[in-house]
Amino acid sequence: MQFELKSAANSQELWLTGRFTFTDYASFRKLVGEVVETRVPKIVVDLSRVDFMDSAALGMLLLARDEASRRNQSLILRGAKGQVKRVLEVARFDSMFVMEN
Amino acid sequence: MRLVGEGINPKTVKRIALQGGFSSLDTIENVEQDDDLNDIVVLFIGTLDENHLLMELKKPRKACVELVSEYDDLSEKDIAFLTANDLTLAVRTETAVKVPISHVFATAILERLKVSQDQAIDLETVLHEAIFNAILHGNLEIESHGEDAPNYFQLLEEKVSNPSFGNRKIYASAKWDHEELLITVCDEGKGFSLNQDFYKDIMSEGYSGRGLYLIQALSDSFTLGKDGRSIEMRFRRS
Repeated sequence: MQFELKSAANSQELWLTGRFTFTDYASFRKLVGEVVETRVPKIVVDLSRVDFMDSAALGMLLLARDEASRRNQSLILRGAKGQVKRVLEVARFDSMFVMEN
Repeated sequence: MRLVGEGINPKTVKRIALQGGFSSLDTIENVEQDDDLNDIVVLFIGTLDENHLLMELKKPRKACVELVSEYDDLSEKDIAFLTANDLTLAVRTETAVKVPISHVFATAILERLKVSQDQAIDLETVLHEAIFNAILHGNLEIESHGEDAPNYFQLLEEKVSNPSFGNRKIYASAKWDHEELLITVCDEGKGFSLNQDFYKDIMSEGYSGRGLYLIQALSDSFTLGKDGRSIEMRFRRS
């Protein structure tokens, strides 16, 4: 998994690339910690370049959402497709997150 | 079955073949791709990268087995998996953490079977979740991850580098007929008992516990082995 951070006016965009799985736990949490400390009102996690996601990654997204929420930030999931979209749907994440195409 | 080594002394392969009652090959190079026996078992030592493992599971191979050292023989468990299945991948836990073996094994199945794109997606997802459980809760004996275990990844790395955990094997195997594909994942841990709450975990917004839910939702059926070290997952072929 590779990560890239892009800054916008009122948001931070976290672009993920590759497979997002249990081996990414430490690096993803560290990155989320840095992003939430920027205090921007909106965080976008772009999943359009992620080609595989597992249940551990689902847990990491919930952790990120809750860390953002504690600082009154919103966290949005964007661009899910293929296997990633399928897993998010089956896990009912559409009712837990704001999702954008 | 015919055994061949990858990076292993041919004499070692011959010794292992003799011990198990199999034949051996010095190299696979002279075996044609259209060899329809599909009985070649590749033995290797030391973690191979993803592309190398993909190559070692291509037809006409039927299995790829990682050995801990040149002094190893095939275990009774190895032989049972090899003889009972059409395709088997058996690797040390350290390899299973470093290499996306669910992708490798799903790709090998899809080389041999025609399935829909949706079923291919579900197959790899289910396989990955079973392997993740086998690694974490099985061989590494780590009970939980998520908010209640923020140091879990450090624990995972520590245990993987400990040979008594890192050398335990993960088995992924598949067999099929015209009606069904059966995938089995097995570990060498203490045994896993099904969390009775796993059906309600999916909407609880907890940070872990979705693996078995995904397996249940995306396979046609699954069965946990009585010893808690294996899971069988079935897909209808239609």
